Amino acid sequence: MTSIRRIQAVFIKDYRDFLKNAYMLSTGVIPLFFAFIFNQGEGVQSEAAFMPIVLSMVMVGSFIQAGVIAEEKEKNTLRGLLLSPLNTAEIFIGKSLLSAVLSVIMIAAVIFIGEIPMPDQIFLVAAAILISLVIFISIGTILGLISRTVMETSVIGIPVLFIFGVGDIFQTMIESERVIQVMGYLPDQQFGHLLMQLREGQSVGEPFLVLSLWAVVSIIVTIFIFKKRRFD
Amino acid sequence: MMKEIIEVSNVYKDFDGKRALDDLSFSIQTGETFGFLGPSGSGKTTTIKLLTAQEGYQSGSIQVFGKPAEDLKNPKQMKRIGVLTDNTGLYERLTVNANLKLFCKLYGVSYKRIGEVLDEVGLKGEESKVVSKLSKGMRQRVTLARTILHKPELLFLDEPTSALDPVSTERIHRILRTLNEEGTTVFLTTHDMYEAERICDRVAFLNKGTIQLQGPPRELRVRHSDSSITLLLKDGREQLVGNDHAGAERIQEVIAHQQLASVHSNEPTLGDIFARVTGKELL
Ligand SMILES: Nc1ncnc2c1ncn2[C@@H]1O[C@H](COP(=O)(O)OP(=O)(O)OP(=O)(O)O)[C@@H](O)[C@H]1O
Ligand SMILES: [Mg+2]
Repeated sequence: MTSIRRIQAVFIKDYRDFLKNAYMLSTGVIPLFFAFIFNQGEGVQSEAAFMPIVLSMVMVGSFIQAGVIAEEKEKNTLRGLLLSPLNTAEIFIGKSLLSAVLSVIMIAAVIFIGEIPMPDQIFLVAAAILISLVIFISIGTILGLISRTVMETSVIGIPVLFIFGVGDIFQTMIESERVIQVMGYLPDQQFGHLLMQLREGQSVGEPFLVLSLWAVVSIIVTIFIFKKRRFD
Repeated sequence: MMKEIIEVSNVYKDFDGKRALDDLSFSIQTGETFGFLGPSGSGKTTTIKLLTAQEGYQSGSIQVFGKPAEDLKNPKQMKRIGVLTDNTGLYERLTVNANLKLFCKLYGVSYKRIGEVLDEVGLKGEESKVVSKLSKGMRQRVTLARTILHKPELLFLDEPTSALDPVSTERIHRILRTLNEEGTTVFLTTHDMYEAERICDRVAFLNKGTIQLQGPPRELRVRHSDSSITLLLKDGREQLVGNDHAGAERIQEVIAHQQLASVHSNEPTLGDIFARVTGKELL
């Protein structure tokens, strides 16, 4: 039986802790700067316009999540949670809630500050953001589980940031068509396609399907790694 | 009412082909304080991990509360135990109160318990302190408070006083004795023989993953005593006499000459016995 009370308790604890954590707080606001820098008014009509949103998901969804998980391991507090009546689902949901809430706030802020031209289909956009958040938070959880310390997450996290967050920047440097094609299926790219196609009134079945697949696979991998590494 | 709360039979545990527990068997009665005494690397922490279902094992059987240890993964069963490992952490940026509140919620315990447990561990009035500002001994008591918040029937403590100063150690011992008097069964590991002797009803000597000797500390000492007696004379000399007729005569003689300062029985310490049985020092 999943208990809202226990999930809420973990969330409140994480929130209190976050407010006193300078490293996390500073990581959390980075996307705002990017939104400022990238704000080119009505100018940007390509998918690059959505980059600050993806960056929010990576910095807050993945990085903060990774830090929050790695710290529980580094400070030996995860064991206390594991030996409490929390079940696996409650630990996952409870430990993801802070980065999820912060991501949503940050995405809203970034859209506002960056004046990002969003499609009008609000529910589809919300669904796309939620599915993508599942993916990025799962990636963050995996990063946190395989790192021994919070500092290690930022080291292991850099390649992740480049591949999943700002992959389009690399695309100009890559020669091989094949690689570019494969990279097109990465969640950040799919998220961009999805919003772009929505804006242009095209069908969005394929990017939704690809994103959903990413979400399912990343959850499975997260659970697998969790079962293996939780008591390390 | 004596019944087995923990029953371990013929357990083998390997880590990547290296044996950590080797045919381990023992049992603990409800209401006991049981001490696992062994040098570093003997398998104490591993045993606690197995008993609390944090690790699996290759063969044998472990019963806790009359059910396989695996059942502790069920949150209902989990609530019946408290576990304090050698590196149980607290949330350092948060206050004592915030740390304990989290676990009140997780265990479904009223916040009223916070005052009670802090009182029990002698930290009343410290609830608004941030954990990172506490001394090591205070932190360990907060951890203990957190561990007993939900009144577990069975408490696992992995070296609860290692690296603590004598005053903090004494405090923890008092708390553990009180808990035990109130009915909590305590399983604790230590490599401190005095600790084992002072608070344990029964101890087991663990060496290389197997139990070499077990029993009540007092009984072990009597059993391994060579029965000799040391006489301390007023002039500062010591005399060793046997626990026999000749010894009795000698004692009488010394008393008659008003030379006797004191009489000491030569029971070995648990450390001596451990060294004798395993050929190893405890530390
Ligand atoms: N996760 C692990 N992987 C590999 N080997 C391990 C692991 N945990 C313990 N061991 C090995 O098992 C043996 C027993 O270790 P354990 O931690 O149980 O000893 P201990 O009695 O608790 O020692 P200490 O007093 O130092 O805490 C050691 O040889 C140790 O190296
Ligand atoms: Mg140990």
